[in-house]
Amino acid sequence: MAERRVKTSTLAAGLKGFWFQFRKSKRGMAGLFILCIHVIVALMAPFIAPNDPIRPTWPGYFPAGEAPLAFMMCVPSWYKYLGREVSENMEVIDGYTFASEQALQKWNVAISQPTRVSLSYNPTGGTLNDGCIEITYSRQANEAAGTSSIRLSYRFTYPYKAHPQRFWIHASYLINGTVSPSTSVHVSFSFFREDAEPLANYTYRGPTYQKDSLLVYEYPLITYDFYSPVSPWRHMWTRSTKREIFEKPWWYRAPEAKIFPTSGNYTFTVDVTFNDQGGARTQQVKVYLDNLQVLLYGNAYGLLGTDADPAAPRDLFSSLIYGSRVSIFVGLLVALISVTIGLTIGLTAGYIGGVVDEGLMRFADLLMVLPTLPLLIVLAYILSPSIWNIVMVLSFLGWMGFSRNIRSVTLSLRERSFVEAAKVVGAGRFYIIRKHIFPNVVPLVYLALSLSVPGAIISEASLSFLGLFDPNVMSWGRMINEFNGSGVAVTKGFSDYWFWVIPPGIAISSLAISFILIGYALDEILNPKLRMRR
Amino acid sequence: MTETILKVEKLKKWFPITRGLLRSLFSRRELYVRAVDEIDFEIKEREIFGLVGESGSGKTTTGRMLVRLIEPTSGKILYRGKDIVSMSDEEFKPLRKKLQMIFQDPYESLNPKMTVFDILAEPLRVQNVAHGDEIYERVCKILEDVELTPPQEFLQRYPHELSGGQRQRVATGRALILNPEFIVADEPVSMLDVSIRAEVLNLMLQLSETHGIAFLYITHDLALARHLCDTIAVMYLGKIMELASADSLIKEPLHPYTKALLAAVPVPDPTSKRAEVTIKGEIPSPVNPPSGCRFHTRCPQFIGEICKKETPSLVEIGSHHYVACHLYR
Ligand SMILES: Nc1ncnc2c1ncn2[C@@H]1O[C@H](COP(=O)(O)OP(=O)(O)O)[C@@H](O)[C@H]1O
Ligand SMILES: [Mg+2]
Repeated sequence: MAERRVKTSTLAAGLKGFWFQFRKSKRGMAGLFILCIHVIVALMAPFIAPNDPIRPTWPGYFPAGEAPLAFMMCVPSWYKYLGREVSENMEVIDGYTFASEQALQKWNVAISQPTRVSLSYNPTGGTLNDGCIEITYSRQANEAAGTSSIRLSYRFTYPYKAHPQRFWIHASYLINGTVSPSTSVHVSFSFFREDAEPLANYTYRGPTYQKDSLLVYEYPLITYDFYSPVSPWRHMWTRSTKREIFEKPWWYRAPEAKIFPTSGNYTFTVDVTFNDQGGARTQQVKVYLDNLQVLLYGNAYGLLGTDADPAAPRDLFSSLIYGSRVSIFVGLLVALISVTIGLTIGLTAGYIGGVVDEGLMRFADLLMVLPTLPLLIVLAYILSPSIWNIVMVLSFLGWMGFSRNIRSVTLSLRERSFVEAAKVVGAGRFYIIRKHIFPNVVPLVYLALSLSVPGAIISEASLSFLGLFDPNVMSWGRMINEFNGSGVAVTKGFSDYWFWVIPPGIAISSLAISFILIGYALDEILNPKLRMRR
Repeated sequence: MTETILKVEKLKKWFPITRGLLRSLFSRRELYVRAVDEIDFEIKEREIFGLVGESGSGKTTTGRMLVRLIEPTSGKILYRGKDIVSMSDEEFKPLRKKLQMIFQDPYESLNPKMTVFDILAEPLRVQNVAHGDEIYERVCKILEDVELTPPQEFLQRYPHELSGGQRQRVATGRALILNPEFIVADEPVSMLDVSIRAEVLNLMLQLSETHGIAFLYITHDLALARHLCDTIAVMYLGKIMELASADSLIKEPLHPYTKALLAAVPVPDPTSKRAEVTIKGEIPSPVNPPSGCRFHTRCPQFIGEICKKETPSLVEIGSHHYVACHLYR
């Protein structure tokens, strides 16, 4: 026990003294501050970033399949404060899963033959058994056949002056009963625009009608025909890019721009038509509808817009936040591994000397004269660019300088008489390296750690920029690579999409600079001569 | 009679001079620094054996060979009759407890990253002779022995928190903690302030007496050696020139080199007479030492060709008084 009382860990004591001196360096503290911000961002990424960095989707329950998060190449949504006309993402329908009966109250129901068609709320039906719309059609055998329909309308306000880039309509449906070619069910969607004043430069060739003092433009969309029951539930997306999106496809191109030319009041309708030619038989058809939603994709999204991936555009802000993880992880791990390798080899070569020294140093020379970037590219390509392989390759190519440094310091340390004093009491090689040489090079290790991080960060970014990135993680280099690959810089001009490249560029350099500043401060502590020059 | 603890026979250390690759390609001849060139002496139990000479004469090299820090080129070192040169490291490790060394520079010989406790505990740990509380007790005991009291105040200190004298006391304690029989003390006070030298030396003397330790005391200061040592050997360019008991060496020095060294020592009594012998020039290079007697280039009593041609051997003149000079043949 008594021994433990006096035993002090030299490493901890050294660290404390180090911190005391470090605190005095303004540059070091500035570097540490920047680094802390980066580390906090990296650790808190899931809380800061609103979306997945690789494959983000529109949040919500869409059993027909995930919808993209946003339209490609969106501008930041705060552009609206700069006076730009932007449109943002919008979910048109509230309570679209019909989890409560209130959701139905927002819909306006119009039935052509109320004796045959009725609508009710089914609280236990639906895709999640949480409620859905139930439409019943029934005709007695003695009644005359004919066509009946029901129209569900949902009126909403589109607030943006700019038109949306896409709309996606989601619907889940289940049809049972006596559906047959002679008793078919038709489901169609439409949009209506209420116009206070006719728009200039706007041609419209479809049906219009007057309602109150407003002119209403009608945009009948696609109709789905059912000649047999549909069970179990089926789900579908109707996208504005569909070729047959309009009932009369030759009307217009760019449906979004025609339907939503500007802000105003709009109506979305779902028509269910029962075309009953069934003759003298009793007909009973039930149509269940659930998850009715219209997504309007704006041209502005998030804090930094989106990238150009056509299938699943990414939120650049989330990419930026998650990118810090890769850079810090790769930077620190590579520095740690390469410094450990360098330290081991340097101590061994320096202390053992002779053939071992010669062999290790010639090997280090060999690696040093190899052109680094081409070698990195080839190795990363052969090994497939997973994050671990990139770490391995960068570590393997990053230890040589430090090992030479440590070797030379060891050469001088091993001649110091405290090493001889240890030999005189019978200490072995390994003991001397561990207890006498190593503690005296620890400050150099700190310095090397802080100075080899920026190199590793920039190497990782370069590899990613060249396309050698791990497809499962988002990094800053990859963001810049994707900007480059999108051709946006050429087709649209760099300045229009600055928010795609400038933030990752600043992030890479500020992280690298933070380590360099810390390195400066450590260097000042280690080499007091530098301090005087200031 | 007391027993011989250490006997050195024809001990030799030639350091090869490493040259550049090109030079060694063109010239086959190997060059050596003849730091120690066939010396013989023996040290008895409890004896303080002084090794005196100018700097560069091979004293430190001799001391380092005795504790096996470097391997001799040839020759024998017999510790109680056993040759330690031919032993393997494993065989020698337990003997290290008996043969210790105090280094010249206390600012260099203590690891700046270790506390006093760790420095003093290291020999015990490496030699695996004590554990846990026993280490603590022995360290405190040795700190008291070297008069660093109270020990608790020093245990946690780092070398840079100690004065030079305190450091050399720690170094002394470190050499003593394994209870050695023999210590090489390589100019242990030459780096200390003159004012504290006596204190440290007295401490060492006293400890050697109480612990019964034999010393090889290396110094360039003949006056100091005279007060401390029982026997003194005078070295010049890797050779022993004269070896005698301290009294007889100082009272009747035989070798011209010894006489010259004594002449350089300031004498407290100005009326006392002493042969005024001076030597001129610098010590020659040990790479190419003078032929014959190494001292002949600077010898005030040079007697001709024989000094240049023949190397004088150490012969006994009078009781236990050895000298290597052609004057006494
Ligand atoms: N490791 C070594 N390699 C080569 N030459 C050495 C080495 N150690 C000492 N020498 C040389 O051996 C000679 C004797 O040195 P040393 O024993 O230190 O003398 P002293 O201690 O008497 O001053 C000197 O010329 C010195 O340069
Ligand atoms: Mg010396």
